[in-house]
Amino acid sequence: MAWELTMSPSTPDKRRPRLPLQVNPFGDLALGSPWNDAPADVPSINDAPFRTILQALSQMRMGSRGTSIVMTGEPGSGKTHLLGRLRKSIPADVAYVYVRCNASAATLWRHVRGSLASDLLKREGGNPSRLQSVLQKYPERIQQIRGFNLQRALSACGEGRHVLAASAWLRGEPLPQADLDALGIGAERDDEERSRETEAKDAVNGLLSFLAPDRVILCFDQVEALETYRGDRDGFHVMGTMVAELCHEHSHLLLVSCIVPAFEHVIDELTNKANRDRWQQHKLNLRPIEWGQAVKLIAARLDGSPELAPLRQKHPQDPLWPLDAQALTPLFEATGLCLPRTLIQACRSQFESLLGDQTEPRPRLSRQDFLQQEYADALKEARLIVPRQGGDKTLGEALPWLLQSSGLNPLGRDDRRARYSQLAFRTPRTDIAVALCYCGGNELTNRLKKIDRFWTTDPPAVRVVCDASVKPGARGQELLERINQKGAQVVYPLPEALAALQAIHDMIASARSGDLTQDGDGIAEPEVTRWLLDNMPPELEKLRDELTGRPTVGLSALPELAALVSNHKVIEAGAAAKELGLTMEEVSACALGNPMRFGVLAGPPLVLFHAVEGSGSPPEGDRA
Amino acid sequence: MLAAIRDATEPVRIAHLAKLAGIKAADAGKLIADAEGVFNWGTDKTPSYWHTSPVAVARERLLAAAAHGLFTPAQLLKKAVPGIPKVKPADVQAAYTALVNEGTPHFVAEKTREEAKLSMLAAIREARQPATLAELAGPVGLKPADAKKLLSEMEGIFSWGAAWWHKSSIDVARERVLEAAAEVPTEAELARKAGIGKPELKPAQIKSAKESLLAEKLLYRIGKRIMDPPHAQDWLETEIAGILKAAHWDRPAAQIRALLSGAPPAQLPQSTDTVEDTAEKIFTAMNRIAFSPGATVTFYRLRQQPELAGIPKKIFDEAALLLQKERKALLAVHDHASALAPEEREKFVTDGLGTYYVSIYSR
Repeated sequence: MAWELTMSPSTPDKRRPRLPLQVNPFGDLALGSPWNDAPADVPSINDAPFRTILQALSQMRMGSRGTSIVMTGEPGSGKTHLLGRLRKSIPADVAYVYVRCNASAATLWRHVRGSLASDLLKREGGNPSRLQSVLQKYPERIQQIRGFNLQRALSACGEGRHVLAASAWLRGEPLPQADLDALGIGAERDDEERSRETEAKDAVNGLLSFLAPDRVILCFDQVEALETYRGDRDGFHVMGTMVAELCHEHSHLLLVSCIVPAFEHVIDELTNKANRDRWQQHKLNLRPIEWGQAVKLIAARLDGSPELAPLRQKHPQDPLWPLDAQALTPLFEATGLCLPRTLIQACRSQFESLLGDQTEPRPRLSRQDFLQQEYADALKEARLIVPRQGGDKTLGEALPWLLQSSGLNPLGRDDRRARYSQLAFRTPRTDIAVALCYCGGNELTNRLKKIDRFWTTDPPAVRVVCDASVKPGARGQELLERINQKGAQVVYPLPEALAALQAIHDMIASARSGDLTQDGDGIAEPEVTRWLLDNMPPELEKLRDELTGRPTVGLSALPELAALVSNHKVIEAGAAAKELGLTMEEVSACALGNPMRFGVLAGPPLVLFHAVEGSGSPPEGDRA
Repeated sequence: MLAAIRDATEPVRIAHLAKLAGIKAADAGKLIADAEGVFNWGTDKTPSYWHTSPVAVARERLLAAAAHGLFTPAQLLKKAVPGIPKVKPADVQAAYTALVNEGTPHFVAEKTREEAKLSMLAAIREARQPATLAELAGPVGLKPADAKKLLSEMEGIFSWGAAWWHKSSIDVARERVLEAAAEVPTEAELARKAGIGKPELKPAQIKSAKESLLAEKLLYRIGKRIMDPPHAQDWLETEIAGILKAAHWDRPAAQIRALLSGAPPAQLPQSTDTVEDTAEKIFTAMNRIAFSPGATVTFYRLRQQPELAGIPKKIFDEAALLLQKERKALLAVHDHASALAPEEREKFVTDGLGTYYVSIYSR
């Protein structure tokens, strides 16, 4: 890590103003979410696209059908900022929903459901949420929904019963049976064809129907994040279909989709022209700004600083004071235009230099250290996200990246294979299909049934990804054994591996959208990918190795042993074997083959202890 | 001696006869040799006599054996030789020949057997559906049972219950399914169409044939339909023309046919436009097809415009860059083109220095 001084005290520059120590008004480069409070907004920047969206909204108010707008703009052109401006400008009776599209073709509807419900349940400033307001004013609208479970959840919210559980159900989060019973919501139907995506789609349509005729703006940001691995176009096809269906079903809906230019052609290249046309009914572009707008932007940021206000009053002729305009004009040399983020970054650096030696020497992180820090932050967030949204979703969205980045070729869609697996890829030795069964109850049994029924040939070899903390029912266990005997391998990813996958997925999505920046420098996706591959956490490496064919060790007893050790915390291997009806050899093999899950003291006697999440590999001395 | 011969159950040796008569064997032989109704079963040196000739016994045995079915001559000979008394093969053959010449049922000459087989085989091959036993046996003059025996020996024919044909039910099912698939039907339509015609096929046979053809990649599932691509050209031509027409993007039938035939595409005439001319065309096309002033137009869409399709890439790229240089338009950068495959990058405009542009918009 290199340290640098923002200004050398031995060479004072008399021409440059000296400023009191204060927060840099140019500190925020990427807004992150339109729900965040944005720094000062300049209405004239991107005014034309903004007016077009407002006009579409007005047309809806006058009875016209809603429409779909695609908004393009380079990273840093202000797409998310414009969505934030939109949120603040719309009338109170218009519902605003923001969806960051870091999902996959197989999880898009669930993703939209989660974002839709979250935003409708959001409370601002102590006011009731949008959903609460509608429930209070128009409780009869519940009857216009198709879907018994959705009606029950909304009724519970409206009546103030089991609100947390009802909110979680609306967001699509997995719930224990007790909560479902309390809500009066039916258990998962034993219908093999009804997928969680179908349920999510019904919930989205149901919620939108519930809000009708109130207008709704649904903003899709970072549409480029639908590419889960390089060349993946499935997510865009599904998105096209989804947009077309939403436009068709709901006349009160305005859709705004934001995408970077690098992926703009993907929409044009969609083979379903009808979906493409419905998605791209209007197209807007956010362009870089010219010097006049830049001056307004810088002035607005500076005026937003209370410490600077009295000082700036002394320089009424210089709207950019204390910054030096001449240092900024080179940014406009090439085309006469500049991206707002690039401008803000340059202003930030200049402002920092004006704070001089008042600031403490700031450690300048190397790129490696910066990415490590970003990863750590993302991992903390991911540990909360994964249990909430379900490991299945994380695996579906992030596994393709992991496998392709590890040099494996994803295989194209095959109708028969799609009946029992969600991913397939080619290794040097064979083709492998991955069946995601990271769930429980009837859903797990149904998925295992499909594998047993439709997987009849090898290749492809099959890897079944299961949750070690879930004990299948009798039928599920029987199916699992049968599938095992047919040659499938069962893989149990660690919870920490899933968190790592989610964190990586989010980092890649940010990089792709241009939102991952260090001191204003955008970090491109290939660089982030390289770093992630070079610094892959061991639990994720293990998952990758298990999926790609390294023989697994002692897995058949893993779920039971994991549950037992988790309960006891520390237990002799002999006692564990006796309790589970296993041999010592089986218990030893399972424990030693899964060092990420079990700590082992060699003994004798051999003792197992519960490995703690987030602590990385167990210390060397604890392994047998 | 004659009485002894008549009563005997097998030929009697001359020595035994002589003893019975109380005379010498040589004398007994002279007496018997002149007798009628007595046949020598032995040799001249060691005769033995019986009241029935060997050929007659062989004949009886042949008739008895043949009564059980149509055997080949060799089989019959084998059956007739053993027994008491044992008959010589030559005698059996003589008896067999006599039976054949007399046209005795079950006794078909070898040559006739082969001719019958050939005739029946020809009839089977010419038949449009499985031929019954009666239809096959009559023309060759065989009893149905005999014809059935011959048919069971023949190769290259298949049993269809009580009929025979040169195609198996599996072959027929496959043919019908392939024929029906030329119209790219739904699965239900395929089952119905393939089930029409003679000979009748069971639904299970049609389904089995369809699954085999799908597994062998001779048929493909396209959505809910089944397609035999090499023979679905008419259907594909109609569908493609319909899709293009609905999109107001008509193309001549000849072009569609050429696409389906796999013929190499005709080379577009190379434009002779300069960079400046091309820039003008790009600018005009961009403003024409943009959703609104300032909205981006991808180079993918621009390249589909007829006036720009034939322009060499180098000229096109330079023209787009010229528009940016002259500040008439702006180009949107692809920020990670280096990570793309070369054929992917080809779709974009490049300055030759590693920067790739995806779209263009007016300033």
